[in-house]
Amino acid sequence: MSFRNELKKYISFSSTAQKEVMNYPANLFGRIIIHVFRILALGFIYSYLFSLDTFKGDFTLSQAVWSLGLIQIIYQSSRNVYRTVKEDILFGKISVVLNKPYNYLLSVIFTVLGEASFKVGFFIIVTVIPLALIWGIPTFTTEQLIFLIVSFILGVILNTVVDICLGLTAFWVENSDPIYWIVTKISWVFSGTFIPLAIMPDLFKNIAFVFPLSVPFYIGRVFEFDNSLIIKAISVMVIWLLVLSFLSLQLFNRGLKKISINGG
Amino acid sequence: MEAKKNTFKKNILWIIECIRLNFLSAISYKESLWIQVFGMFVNNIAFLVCWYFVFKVFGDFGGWSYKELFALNAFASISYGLIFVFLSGLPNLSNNVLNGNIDRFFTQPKNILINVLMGDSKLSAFGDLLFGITGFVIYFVITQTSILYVIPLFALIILSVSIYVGYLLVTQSLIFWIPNSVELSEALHHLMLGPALYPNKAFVGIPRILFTFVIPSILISSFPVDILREFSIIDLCLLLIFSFCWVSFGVFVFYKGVRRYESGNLVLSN
Repeated sequence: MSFRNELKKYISFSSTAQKEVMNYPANLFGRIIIHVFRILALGFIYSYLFSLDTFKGDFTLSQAVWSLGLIQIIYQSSRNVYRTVKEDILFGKISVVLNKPYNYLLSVIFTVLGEASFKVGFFIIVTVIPLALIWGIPTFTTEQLIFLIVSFILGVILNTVVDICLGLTAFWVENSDPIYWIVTKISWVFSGTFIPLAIMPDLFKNIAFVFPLSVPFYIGRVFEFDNSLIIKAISVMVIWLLVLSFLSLQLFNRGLKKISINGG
Repeated sequence: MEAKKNTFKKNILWIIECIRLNFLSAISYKESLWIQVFGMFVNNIAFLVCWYFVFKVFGDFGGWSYKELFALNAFASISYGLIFVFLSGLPNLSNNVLNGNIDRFFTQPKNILINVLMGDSKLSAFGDLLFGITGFVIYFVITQTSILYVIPLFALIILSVSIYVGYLLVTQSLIFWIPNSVELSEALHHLMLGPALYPNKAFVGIPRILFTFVIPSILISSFPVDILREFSIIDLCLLLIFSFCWVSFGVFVFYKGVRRYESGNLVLSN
């Protein structure tokens, strides 16, 4: 089968996922509301904190709020992956998928990308408008704008692959939720989800630069990165994408050996 | 009057029996229970870690120090924990309606609301309960608060949980009007829970009104912490009024919604 046909097959996952999002507008609306309120809540907190004048540094309030908002877009664009993979394994759906002429992991990634490509427009609008109106638009260089797009795409894929790896642990652990909670909260601390990394100590920032759980959220560090760091950051993202993809493939292949199909 | 008294007594006994059975069922999965309790406990610590850095960089937060964060997180965790352990049918109400799982309750000679509220305890919520209790113990020790404050603390926890229950009843009942709104209800739940983990000083003006009167985030955590810090009977009464209003509104919306419910056509009844 040609590459084109293969690609067409996976793109059909993306378009199905898009239609599914469109069919349940209440759910999308709910997510949008929570997203807006979350970034507003974080914005108000940092408005208050910056008004105290206790922070000494170049990082501005506007940059802090935008940084947090951009990270939230990554979360919103790649959610539910862990739960889907875990439930596919626990409820036996994975054994059905094995008979199908497609790769399960790729189908998950393309589903997420399909959903993300549809949702991202909404999320960008509902993020940019309140942030721009209330906190203003920070200055971006052309390189930083390009980095925003590249780091968004790579970030969504990387975050999806991390979630796939966590979901695949369900092959070995009956209830992998505690693993997921702990890993995601470590990611939360190191990715700048709550506190922009720009205001953290240097040692913390340096660890976060190479830490696999914080790499998908580089988009939030766009204001810290000059041209040389942008190239380094994209390289680190690509390296981790290759490593984690390899890991997920290994986990998947080993996990498949644990499947027992009882018929019925 | 006598009949009403008997019904009330029967309902209370029914609630106690449901809680007992759910609890026994939950602790029968010992290994799973401990793993989830530990996982959730560590998960909750992440909030404190993040706030530690915020306080380190910015200093005190409108008169709140890091100490108050223990009480804030404790209130939010214990309320969440109590609901998901003892009233776990409530956060799953919309899902149960969607799947036609509440049909069986209509066939039983029991109060429909009580039946709907009771459900299998969420094991990880025991971790939230433990985290909440630990948070309060740490807060009492580091602030050297008198042990006598345990009495108002219990009252505050009950009021906080009541408001939480009222809000969930309203948001989960949306399914009776909006089909397939499970994720919407979940989103509205998180919408309340997220800001409940931030000190109320962060919200001024419209956001403060919004997170107090429309979405009761401040009422379930920050406001009780303020009462605990500087005890005021007026504030306690205010919280009581809010609690009464939210529960009444929640029950009203639920029963209004139930009237619109059409059977999921599940023939099983147990």
